[in-house]
Amino acid sequence: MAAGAFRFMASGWIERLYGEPDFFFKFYGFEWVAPLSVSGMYWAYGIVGLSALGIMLGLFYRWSALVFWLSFTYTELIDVTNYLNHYYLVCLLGLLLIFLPAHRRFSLDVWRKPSLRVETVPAWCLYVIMLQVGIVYIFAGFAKLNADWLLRAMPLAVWLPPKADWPVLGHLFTQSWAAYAFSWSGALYDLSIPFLLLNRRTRPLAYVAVIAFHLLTRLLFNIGLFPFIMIFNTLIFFPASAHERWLRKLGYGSGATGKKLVFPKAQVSLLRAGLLGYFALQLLLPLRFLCYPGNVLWTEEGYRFAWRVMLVEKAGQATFTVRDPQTGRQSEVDNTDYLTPYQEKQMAIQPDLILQYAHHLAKVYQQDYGIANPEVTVDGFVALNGRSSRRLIAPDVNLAAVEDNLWPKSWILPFEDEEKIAQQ
Amino acid sequence: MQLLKPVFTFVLTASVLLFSGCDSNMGGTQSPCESDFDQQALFQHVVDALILPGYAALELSTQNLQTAASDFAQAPSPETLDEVRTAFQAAYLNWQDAAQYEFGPAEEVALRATLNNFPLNINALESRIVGGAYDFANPNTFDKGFPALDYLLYGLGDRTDGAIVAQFEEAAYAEFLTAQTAFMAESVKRVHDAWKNGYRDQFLVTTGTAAGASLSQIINGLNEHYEMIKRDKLGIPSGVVTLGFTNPDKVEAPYSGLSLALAQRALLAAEQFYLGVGRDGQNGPGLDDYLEAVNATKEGESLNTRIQQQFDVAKAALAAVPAPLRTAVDENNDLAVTAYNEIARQIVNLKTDMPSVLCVAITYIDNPSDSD
Repeated sequence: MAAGAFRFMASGWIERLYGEPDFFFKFYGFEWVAPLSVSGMYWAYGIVGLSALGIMLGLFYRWSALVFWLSFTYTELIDVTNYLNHYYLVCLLGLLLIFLPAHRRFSLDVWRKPSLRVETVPAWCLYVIMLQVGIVYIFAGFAKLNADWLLRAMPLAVWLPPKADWPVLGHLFTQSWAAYAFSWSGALYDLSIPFLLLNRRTRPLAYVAVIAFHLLTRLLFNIGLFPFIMIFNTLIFFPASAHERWLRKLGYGSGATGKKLVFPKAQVSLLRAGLLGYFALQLLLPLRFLCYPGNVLWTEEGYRFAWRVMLVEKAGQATFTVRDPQTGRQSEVDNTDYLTPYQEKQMAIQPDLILQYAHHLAKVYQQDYGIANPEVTVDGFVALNGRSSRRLIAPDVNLAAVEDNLWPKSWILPFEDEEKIAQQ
Repeated sequence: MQLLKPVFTFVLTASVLLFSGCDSNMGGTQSPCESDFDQQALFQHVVDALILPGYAALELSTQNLQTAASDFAQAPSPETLDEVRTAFQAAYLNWQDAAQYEFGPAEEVALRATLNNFPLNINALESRIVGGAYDFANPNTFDKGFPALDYLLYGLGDRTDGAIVAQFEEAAYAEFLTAQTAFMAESVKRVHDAWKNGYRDQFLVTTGTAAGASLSQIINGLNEHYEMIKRDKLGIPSGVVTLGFTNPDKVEAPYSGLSLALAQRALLAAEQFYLGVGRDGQNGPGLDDYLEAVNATKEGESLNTRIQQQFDVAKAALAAVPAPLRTAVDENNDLAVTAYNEIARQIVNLKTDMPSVLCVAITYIDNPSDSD
């Protein structure tokens, strides 16, 4: 993660993500999170990077973990359009790490204070990470069990052919059966890998599959550090003896104290309650889409925080009109006046962001042009997974008057498949 | 492993069954992103019948403009002014065809920005002329190219021929005009040469749907310029984006009054680019044929038909606006706004539907970071 933070700083993304926009899309319930100045954001990322180093080296571990979690989560809360599932995973793991004694053996803290050293920790410490990783895979796998993924090989059928210039494999990518094969094996992989990793006999082979799968996705897609996070995370499925063997090879293994880490009773029950609540949330959040009508890939209600990874190829456009109800004067909005191109692209396909932006426009027109209660409507179209576009938002709804909440959004138009339309 | 064996067997059988099932069921319908359409034939036609002839015509007309301009600069008179104006109009109209080919060599030299950034900043232009420090290659300034010539050849002083000719008795003006037109001819020649010497051959073989592949260049080029026709040529002047308050001074070519002719030519060029209608009027392989080849439909009808119909509607709406646009945006605002709306209505077809069904990404809007 330290590498990630420094990559962020080096690549100039900080200016692009935090310096260029003058409007930021907020997460529901976190509207109060505001960005710092560009130099402030550099400091924030510096803190993320240093605290990640602290965790890795096991130096002032608890503080490092706490600071890492806070600072990383902060940077991710600033703008919804930067949301990525793997950043969310890092936030969750960061939170869990605060409470785990991951510094009690092979760490600088032990070198500093040898009394910290223990040989074993309670098994649940490992299980929580395994469970979290398992949840990611299983939900990602279930999310793939939809008609587009399985029956149309979408969106892989869009994403693979551009890689046709690859050596050896390249020719495969243009074949339609290859997209199907990748789709199906991807779903199968996600659904089965946690179990294969748990089983002692399948574990070595499963880990080879983990490496192969994630390296392939790394090479095929622009998904940053995620493959490496998963490759290293899944190492936790290996028993301690395997890790010990590697540690010994690295020349670290002597001086065993035989000490076992035992948590005090009070701490254990507190942790138990906390973890129960945490994992209940982890199981329910991805399922919340069931509370909303319509196709979650279309409405995106309950889409985030649900391990829907690489599921859609979406393109959209949203043309907003602001109208003064007193004079009847109206203006079409040039989105580039308020949003970066990337924000505009993300906003156009996500209804909750369309609403946020509409509210922002209402505010701007009220302040800058003195229009009382401006009406904001949108002409919004989205094309999903290689189809032609459909209208996403009811065009006559005054979004400025629509309150943002978690109830189903009645102004999202239902998704109708072309085949259905053709049959009518 | 004993426990998992039945699971594996089940999964394997299930997937084999499903796969074989899919094949028989879906034999009739076209898989997305897959077609037998001959991309290379499309590229060859677009390059050899549209792009290269387009640049050839533009190169010739900018050279004529350069010659006429230096004749005028050496001997300013109503007659030489007339000649340079004629050459200017021809070149400006030809430019509308080529403006949408802003990829490869043209993108490298930012041809569109160096030739036609408007509206003109007159003060900046005047200080360039007086100071003699020209910066024609800068894509971010609004003091050069066709808009500068529009002002210098039609808008100086009280805008009479006499006043304009008199102004060019000043060496600074004559020098600027000569240098500017020479730069324009030189830039166009450079782009045209780059196409002829290498880029054409490379373009013809860069098939596929990836960003940067020729199909993506064509679709992105078409869309990016189409949006400029909408916003810059019509939207901003007619007040659509400014609460109905018009901006007549921000039309393209306000002094020569060419605005509407240029907009019409640009719209026609977009249609021909889409249809694959060559400069000689021959209709060859175009994006329309590609859409038909993948059976692209929208709301139950052919996407290609919808696009063609919308081009006709948009052209008719634009033709209904009386020239010059500079006065029409106030006196016939409804007509200008209607033309804008009809041009805008095409964008969803060209920018969202067409790339989606052809599996091409719109790339002039890029991703700043990772995706997942």
